[in-house]
Formats: sequence, C-alpha cells, structure tokens
Amino acid sequence: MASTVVASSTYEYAVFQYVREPYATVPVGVALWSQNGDNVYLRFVHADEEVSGLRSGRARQIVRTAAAQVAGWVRQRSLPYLPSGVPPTANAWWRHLASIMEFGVAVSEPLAIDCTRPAEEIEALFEAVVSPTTAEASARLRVDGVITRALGDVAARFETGKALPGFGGKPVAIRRLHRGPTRYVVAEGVNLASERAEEDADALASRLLRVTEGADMPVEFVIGYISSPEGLNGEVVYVDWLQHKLNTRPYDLVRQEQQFRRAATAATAPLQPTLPEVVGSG
Amino acid sequence: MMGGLTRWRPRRVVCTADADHKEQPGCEYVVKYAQGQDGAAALISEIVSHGLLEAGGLPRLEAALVVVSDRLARSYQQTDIGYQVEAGIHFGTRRRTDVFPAPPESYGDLRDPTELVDIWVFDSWLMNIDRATHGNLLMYHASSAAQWSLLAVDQSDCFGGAHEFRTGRYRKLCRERGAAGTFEQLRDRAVLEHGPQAVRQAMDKVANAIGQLNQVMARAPSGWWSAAKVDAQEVAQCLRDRAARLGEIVDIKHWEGLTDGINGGRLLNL
Repeated sequence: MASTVVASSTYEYAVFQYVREPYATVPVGVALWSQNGDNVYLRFVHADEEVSGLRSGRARQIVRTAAAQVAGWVRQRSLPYLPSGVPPTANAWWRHLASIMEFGVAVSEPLAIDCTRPAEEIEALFEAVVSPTTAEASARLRVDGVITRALGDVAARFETGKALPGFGGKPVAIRRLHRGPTRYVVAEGVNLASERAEEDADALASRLLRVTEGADMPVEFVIGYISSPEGLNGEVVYVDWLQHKLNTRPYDLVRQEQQFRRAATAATAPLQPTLPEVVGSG
Repeated sequence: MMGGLTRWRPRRVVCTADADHKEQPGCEYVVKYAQGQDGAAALISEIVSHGLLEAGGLPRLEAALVVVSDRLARSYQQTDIGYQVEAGIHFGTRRRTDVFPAPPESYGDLRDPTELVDIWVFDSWLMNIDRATHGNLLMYHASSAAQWSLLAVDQSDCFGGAHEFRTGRYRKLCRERGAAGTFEQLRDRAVLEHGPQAVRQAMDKVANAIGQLNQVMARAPSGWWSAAKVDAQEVAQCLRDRAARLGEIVDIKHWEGLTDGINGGRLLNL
C-alpha cells in the first residue's frame, strides 16, 4: 500500500496498568497529550468493557478510583508533591505521576507517538493498548458514528439500514447505501484498532464480495477504517487485504477523513449531461 | 508512606527478625531512615502516634523498629539515594500491596464512614497536619467487603509537623490548635449521617489510648529523644491536656447542634 503524507505531530502517551502482584500487570487506560498543547486526553476502561485480568469488582473499583483521581489532578493541573507551574502536558508531570502511583494502578513513562486528532485517536490508542472486549452493538455504533462524521454533508446522499441482494439472492445489510441511476455506492467501515480487527476485516471483505456477486447493478465501494496510532495493532495487512479484495482504496477515517469524503462525494455526484455534439453545416 | 518527593524518601527494604538474616526470605518493609534532628522528631511522631492509634483500636499498618547495621549503612554510601543512612534504629511499616490511596471515588464507596471520624478525632488530638496529603490515608478491602475500609498511615507530621515538634513550638500549638483537616467533605457527611455519637465514640477510643500512653511513649528509642532534643514528659503532658479538651477541640457542641437542628432528617447539598 502506498504511503500517504498527512499532517501530524508528535504526541506523548502513557499507559495505566492495574498491578496485581505477583501476576503480570493489566493495561487499563491511556493518556494522550502534546507538550505544545493544552489538553490531556484520558481513556480508562468502561464498566461495559471486559478486560482479561480485570474481572473482579474490587479490581474494577481500584481502577475507577485511580481514574477519578488522575482526572482530578489533570483538571486541577496539579499533582501531590510536585511544585506548581508544571502543567499536565509536560512530560515531567507524567514522570512525577509515575513516581507517586505506587498502589494498585501504575502509569508508564511518557512514550512518543504520531497523532493528528487526539480527541478521536485516543479511542483507537486505547483499543490497541488495552484490547477490551466491547459489546458488538456498541462497537458497531462507534464505527457508524465515525463514518457519519467523516462523510459530513455527503451523508445525506446515503440511506442507512438498507440491504442489497447478495450472492444467491440472500440480502446483505449495508451501513450506507446510495442508489444511483447506473450503480450502487456502498459506504462501509471497519474498526482495525480493536482486538477483532482480523475477524472484522475478513467479515467486511466477504460481505461486500457477496454484494458484488448478487446486486442487480454495478457496486462501487467507499471504504473507511479506524486505525490505531502508528499501526500499533498491526492492521496494515488488513488494509492491504481490503484493497486487494474490493479493488478500492480504504481510507483512514480520522487521518484521511477529507479523502474519504471526497471519494464518497465523487462516487455519488449527480450525473452531468454532456453537451450535445454540434456539427457544423456550413 | 509514599515514594514521591517527601521530606526524605522512604525505602522498600527486605528485613528479617534476626540480625544475621538466617530467617529467609524476610519481609518487605517501607523504612523511614532518621535524618538529623527533624528526622528523629518525625520518627518519634511516627512511633508514638502509631502506638496510640493501636491503643485506640484503629486499623493501622504493622510497624517495626528497623536496625541498620554498620555494614548496611556503608553499603548505602555507594548508592544515589540522596541522603546518608546512619547505622542505628529506624522506623518501618510492613509493605502492603492490597491498599490504595484515598480519597474514594464517592462517599458510598466507604464501608464504614465512622472510620474516617475516628481518624479525624485522633488527628485532631495528635495535631496531625497532613492526613489529606496523597498516600497518608490508604484504603483496603476488609475480608469480603466490596467497599473500602480506611487505614491511617504516615504519622510523621503529628505535633504540628516535625519541625514544630523538634523546635518545641508544638507546646504552643498544643494549647491553640483546633481540629485537624481530614477530608472535611467526607467527614462532615459521615458525622451528619451517623450523628454526634460517632464523634463521641471516637473520643472514647482516645480515652482508651491515653490509658496506655506511658507504654506507648516507651516504644520510642531513647536515642531518638536525645537526637531530637524533645522532652518525653512534656509530650505526654501535651497529649493528656489535649485529650482532656478534646470535646472542645473537635467542637462536639457544633455537631450536636447541627444534628439537633435537622431533627434526625438529612441535610441536602452537602
């Protein structure tokens, strides 16, 4: 797959881990910030997310309490035993936090990462690092939400909750469907930052191939995906696989949002009548 | 009991009950090494206050006097711990891995909020100045409880703080200092919910503890008293005086009036 240059900058992230001696630690949350920015983005495991090694109510309570304390310190822009004036976007702040979080939940030293839109990429970073098992319905909703945002105004050109006849006539559910005069346009997406990336990429490719075999008009695909920052989840091969099987280039729904929208716009643009050919009579 | 930038950073040390370490593998303790006069005063504060919490029946860490040999003291000289460890007797508490620093996420996470009232009354008596500092009040799950129980740790800044203690200014504070600032919002709610009898029960625990004051004071090694230049008899008198005035110090009348005023009802918007 060809590489694409995107506007990005260096961010830092840290991983929160539930400590349960003598067993291995369990990642339970992430923080993402830029030393040049003002905001710290935090994401801890939610109550409806399962994480291996974090099953007991007590463990959950410890993580919840730690999350509340860290969020409070970030909000107050202060840390116990740290002189005032060091903001939570400074790496020194995080190194100090690592030194005081010595009970139950620990935090790593800051790690560099490439990032363009931290408010959105924190979610993918969390999924890649923590690998929660999320309920299928909520995972689907998340992908839907990201596609809707990436489509912007073009989303109005698509219907939701529709199906197209697939291989053998069996209907295939489609996230976003545009019915053009000469072809269908299907906008679909997949979360490649989750622990189910392989399974979901295969399922998407298979489902859309069944559509190409059964639809009554040609089908054009506009495919987006949620990636993990710097491909931490090893998803590049799945992107290549989708491109290979569907013969269309998948777009990163966060970092290539504009390209995704342009592709959807072009695919669903109304047909323009061509000028009649005028033949001179003279 | 914390690994951050405290006055001097406690060390995690594996200790054995015998001097030649035949009893392996030993246990891990968090040790505060005495540093100068203020350090010696802090350790007196630690051991006396710890003993009084124990005498009052409050949960606390398992404490021990830690003997540092000449050889261990020399070995620290080759490290970068940032201060000199002297041979002699120091103070340690058994390291626990099942604890978490307060505050809880919410009041409802406390198994028995009167534990906080107990700690607040003892802090008020002992003139503890930094209970709300991160790591000085720990939480743990007692037996099968789903909620947190409380554990008072780090009593090095009782008597108005180690410096005030060592310089003798604690004597003035003994007469003037009011109630401690121990997680006030949670404490207020606990007292309002459980009534002034929760404060009175805590005061009864102080009365029990004062009965063992002499034995507790004797736990501090004589070398610490001489290094800190603190008079043990004056300290004991300070504690007796404050115990006698404890109702005034914690303002028991205020709590009685407040709960009388709501006639057993609940206050909103705490």
